[in-house]
Amino acid sequence: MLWSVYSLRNLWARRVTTLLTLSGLGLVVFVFVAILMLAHGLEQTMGRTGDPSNAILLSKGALSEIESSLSRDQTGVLAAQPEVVTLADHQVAAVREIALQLTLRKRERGSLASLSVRGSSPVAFAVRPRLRIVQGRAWQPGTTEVIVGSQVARQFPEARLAETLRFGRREWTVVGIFEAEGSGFDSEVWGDVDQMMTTFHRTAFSSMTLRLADPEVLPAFKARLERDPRFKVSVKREPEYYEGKAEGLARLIRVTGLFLTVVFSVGAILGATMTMSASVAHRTTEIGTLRTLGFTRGHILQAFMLESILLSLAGGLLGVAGAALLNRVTISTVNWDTGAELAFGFHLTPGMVGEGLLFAVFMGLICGLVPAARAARIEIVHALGERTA
Amino acid sequence: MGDPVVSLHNVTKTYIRGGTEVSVIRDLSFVIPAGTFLAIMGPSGSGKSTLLNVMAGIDRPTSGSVVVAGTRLDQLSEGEMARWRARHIGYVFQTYNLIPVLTAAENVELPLALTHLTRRERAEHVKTALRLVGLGDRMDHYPRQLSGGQEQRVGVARAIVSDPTMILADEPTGNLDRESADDILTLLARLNRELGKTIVMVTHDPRAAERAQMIRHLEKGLLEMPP
Amino acid sequence: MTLLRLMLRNTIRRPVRLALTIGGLAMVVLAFGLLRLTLEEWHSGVKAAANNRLITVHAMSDSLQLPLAYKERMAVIPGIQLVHYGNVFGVEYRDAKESFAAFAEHMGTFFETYPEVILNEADRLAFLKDRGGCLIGWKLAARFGWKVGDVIPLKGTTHTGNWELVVRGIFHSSNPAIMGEGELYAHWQFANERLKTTAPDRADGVGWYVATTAPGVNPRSVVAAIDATFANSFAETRTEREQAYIAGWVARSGALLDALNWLSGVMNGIAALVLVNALAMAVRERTREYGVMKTLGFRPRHLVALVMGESLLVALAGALVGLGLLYPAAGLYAVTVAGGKTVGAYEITAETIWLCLGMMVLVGLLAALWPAVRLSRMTTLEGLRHRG
Repeated sequence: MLWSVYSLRNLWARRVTTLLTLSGLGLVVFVFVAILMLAHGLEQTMGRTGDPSNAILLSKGALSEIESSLSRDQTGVLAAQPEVVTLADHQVAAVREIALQLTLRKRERGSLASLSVRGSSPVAFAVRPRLRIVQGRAWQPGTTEVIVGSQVARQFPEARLAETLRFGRREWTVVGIFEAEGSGFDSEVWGDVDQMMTTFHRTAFSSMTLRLADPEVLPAFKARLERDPRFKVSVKREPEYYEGKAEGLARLIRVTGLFLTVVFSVGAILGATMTMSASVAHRTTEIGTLRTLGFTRGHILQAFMLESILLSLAGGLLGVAGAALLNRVTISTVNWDTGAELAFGFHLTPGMVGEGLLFAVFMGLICGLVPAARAARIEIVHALGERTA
Repeated sequence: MGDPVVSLHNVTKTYIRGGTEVSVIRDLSFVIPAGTFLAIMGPSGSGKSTLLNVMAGIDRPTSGSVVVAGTRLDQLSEGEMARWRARHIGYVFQTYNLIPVLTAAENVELPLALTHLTRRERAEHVKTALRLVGLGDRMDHYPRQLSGGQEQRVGVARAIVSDPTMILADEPTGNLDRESADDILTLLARLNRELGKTIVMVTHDPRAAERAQMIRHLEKGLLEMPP
Repeated sequence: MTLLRLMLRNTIRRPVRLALTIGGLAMVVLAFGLLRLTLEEWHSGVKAAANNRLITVHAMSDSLQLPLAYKERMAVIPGIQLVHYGNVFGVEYRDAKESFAAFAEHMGTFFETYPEVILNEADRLAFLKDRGGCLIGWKLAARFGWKVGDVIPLKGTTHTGNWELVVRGIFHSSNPAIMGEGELYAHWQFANERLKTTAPDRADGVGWYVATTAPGVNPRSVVAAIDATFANSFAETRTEREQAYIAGWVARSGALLDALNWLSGVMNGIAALVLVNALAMAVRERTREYGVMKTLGFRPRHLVALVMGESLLVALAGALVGLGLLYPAAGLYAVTVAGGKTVGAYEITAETIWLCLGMMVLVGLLAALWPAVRLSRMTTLEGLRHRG
C-alpha cells in the first residue's frame, strides 16, 4: 500500500516526464489495438457474409462470381436437388444471380469508384433471411428498381432513397436500403436479374446460391455435385467463399500492423527505460536513505517495478481509450481480390481491451527491469555520499 | 582610492513569501570606490547575497537606483543586462558551478565565447588566468578530477579571464577547508593588490572577512555604517 | 568554438540515455520509412507510367469485355500509331495459393507497345513462333524454379480447363513499376481459340486496348477521340492515359492509403515525444549550469542555440540509424507482405531518405521548442537556485 503511494507520488512529482512517457506508451497501445480492431472488423465483414446453411455454386475452376458462368439449363437441374429447402409457396430456395463490378464516377468528386451490382430475385430474401430492408421496400421484379446496401447509401449520395443511379445506359431508381449485419452485402446494389442480364448482354448467370435444409449435409452434397461430369461446378459453403475473398487486404493489415507494433514498442520501451533510469539516478540519495531505514534491495526493486508498471498501465488505458474512439468508424476501399469496393470498420471487443492492457504491462515490465535492478544494487555508502546538487 | 565603481541609492528589495511582503534590503545607500576589496558580512538571511546579486545585475531592486561601472542597472533590459555582465562582472560562486563536461581550460574560456577575440588570443587569456591562479598544469583536467580548492581556483580564473571591472564573490570559501580557503583569499587579495581589481565578497566567516580591506556588516537589510 | 564543443559534450554526457533516445528515434524512423515504402510502392506505377500509352476499357466496368472489332476502328483514329490488346488470363498452378498474375496479349504488337520488356532476340523469336508458349518474368521463374523449355501445367480460372504452356523466355523489365517481373504472358489468340469451344459467348472479347500515340501528338486529344468513336454504341469506352488509369485504381484504395498516411503522422508525434522527454530531462538537470552561464553574461539565444543544436544532433543521429535499419527491414517487410506471392520492389528512394531526414529535423526543432522557451523565460536567479 505504502509502496504504491510512494510510486504514485514519484510519478506525480515528475509529471511532465511521466506524461510524455505515458503518451508514448499510449500511442503504441493505440496503434496495437487499432490494428487489431481493423483486422477484426475486416474478418467480421467477410466472415458474416453469407449463411452457413447456404451453398454457393460457381462454374468449375472459377475463383469468384465475376469469373464464373452458369447456364440457365444447368441451374435448373442444379436447383432441383433433394437437399434444398422448399419454401411455403412450393418454390425452391435457390437464387440465380449475376454479379458485376461496375465503374462509377462519384457524382461529388468525380473520382472513380467500383460498385458491386447483383442481379437477383425476391427468393434471395428467403435464402438469406438475415438481410433486412431498413428503409423503403424491395424492388418489383421486371422493373429497373434497385435496393442498396447501407454502406453504398452512405458512400454514394446518388444511392440514397428515391435517387437514381445511372449505369449500363439506363437509370435505376433506389426504392430501398437494406442491412446485412455489417457483412459484405452492405457494399452491394441489388436489382432484378433479368433486367441486369438484358442490360449487360449476358446469357449466363454468375452463381447460384442454395439454402440447404440441413447444413451438415453440405460436404456430401458438394462431393456429389462436383464429381458429376454433367455439371462442371464447384460448391462452397457461402461464408467460406466470402471469407477467402479479402486475403490481400487482411494480409496487408496484419503484416503492416505487426511490423509497426514491434518497431513502435521497441521505440517506446527505450523511451520509458530512459525515464525510469533518470528516475533512479535522480533518487540515489533517497534510495540510500530507504536502505538505511531498513528496506531491503527487494523492496527497492519492487517500488521501481511498480512505478514502471503503473506508468505503462496508465499509458495502456490512454491508448485503449483512444482506440475505443475509433470503434464503428468504417473505411471503404477497393478489395484487390475482387476489385469491388468494400466497407469495413474498426471493431473493438472486450478481449482487445485486455490484450492492449496486457501488452502495456508487458512493456512496463521490460522497461522497468534494468533501471529497477540498478536501483536495487546501489550501495548505501555511495548513495548517501553522492550529492544531488 | 578612485571614483566609485558601485553606488547604491535608496535601494530596497522586497519579496513576497507566503503571501506576506518581506524586506530583504531596506533603503540602502552606499558607494564602493574603485580598487576596493570589500567584505560584506552578516548572518544568513541578512540579505547579503541579494545585495551581491543586485550589484551583479542578476537581480533587480524593488526600488532605488543602482549604478555599477557607470551604468544605471535598474533601467537595463534583460539583454542589455547580460551584455553588461559579460563586460563588467566576474562572479565567483560558493559551489564553484563549473560545467562538468568541460575541462578547466574550457570552463575558463567560456566567458570569452561572448567576446570577439581570436582563438589564439583566447588561448592566451585562458593560460594567463589559469597560471595566475596556479593551475597552469591542470588545464586539461575535468572538474571531477580536481579538488574543491582547485575547482574554486578555476572558478576565480573564469571570473577574471575577461578582465571585468569588478569581481563579485558569494561565499567563495564556504565549501572549502581552511587551507584551500586561505589560498583563495590570498589569491583574491593579490588580484586586488597587484591588478587593482575591485572585489566585493560576501561571507559570514570573520576570518575570511579579515583578509579584505574593508568590512561592512549587514543586519536585517540595513548596512552598518563604516566606523 | 567553446559553445559548439559544449553542445557536443552535453549531447554525449549521458551515453546510456543518448543511446536509448537515438534507439527510440531510430525505431520511429524505421516504422515511418516502412510506411512510406508501402505508400510509394502504391504510387510507383503512377510515376513510372509511359506518357504515350492510352488504356481503353469498357466504360461500365473494367471486368466487362470490348469487341475485338474495335481494333480496326481505333487504328484509323489520327494520332494513334499502334493498337494493342489483351485480356486477363486467370490461372493457378497446383492450387489457389500458387496463383499469380497472367495475361493473354496480342503478341503481334506486344513488344512494340511495351519496350520495357528486356528479352534476348532468340527467345523472343521462339516465343512468337510458338502459340502455345509463354513468357515469364524472372521473379516468377525464380519463385517456382521454372526454366526455358519447361512445360508448366496450369488450371484456368477465367479460361476454364487445363493449360500446358511451354516457357519460351524469361524476361527482365527496365521499369518494374509498370511491367512487373512476376507475371506470365501468353498468346491471346491461343487462349481465345480455346474459349470458342468452352465459353463461346466470351470468345473474341478484349479486356483492354492499349493505344500508342504517335510522337508529337498530344495524348489528351486522342483520349477524347477514342471515346467519341464508340459513344452511343452498345459498349462505350473509357480511355485514359496510362498514368491516369493507374492513378484511378490507386485512388480507389484511397481510404486505406489515408489511414497509412495518418499513421505516419502519429509516428512524428511519437518521435517528438521521445525526444522532448530526453531533452526536458537533460535541460532540467542542467538548469543550474544554464544559470551560471547567464551570470557569465550569456544571452537566452545562446542557451536556446545550445538546446536546439543538441536536439537536432540527436534527431539526425536517430534518423541515420533508422535509415540504416530500414534497408534490411524493408527486405523482410516486402517478403512478409507478399506472403509467398511475388515480392514487390520496395525500393528505398532518395525521396524516402529526404523525407525521413526532413521529418527528424522538424521533430528536432519542435522538441527543442518547449525546453528552449522555458530556458529563455528562466531568470538567472531561478537557474542558480535550482537544485537538480
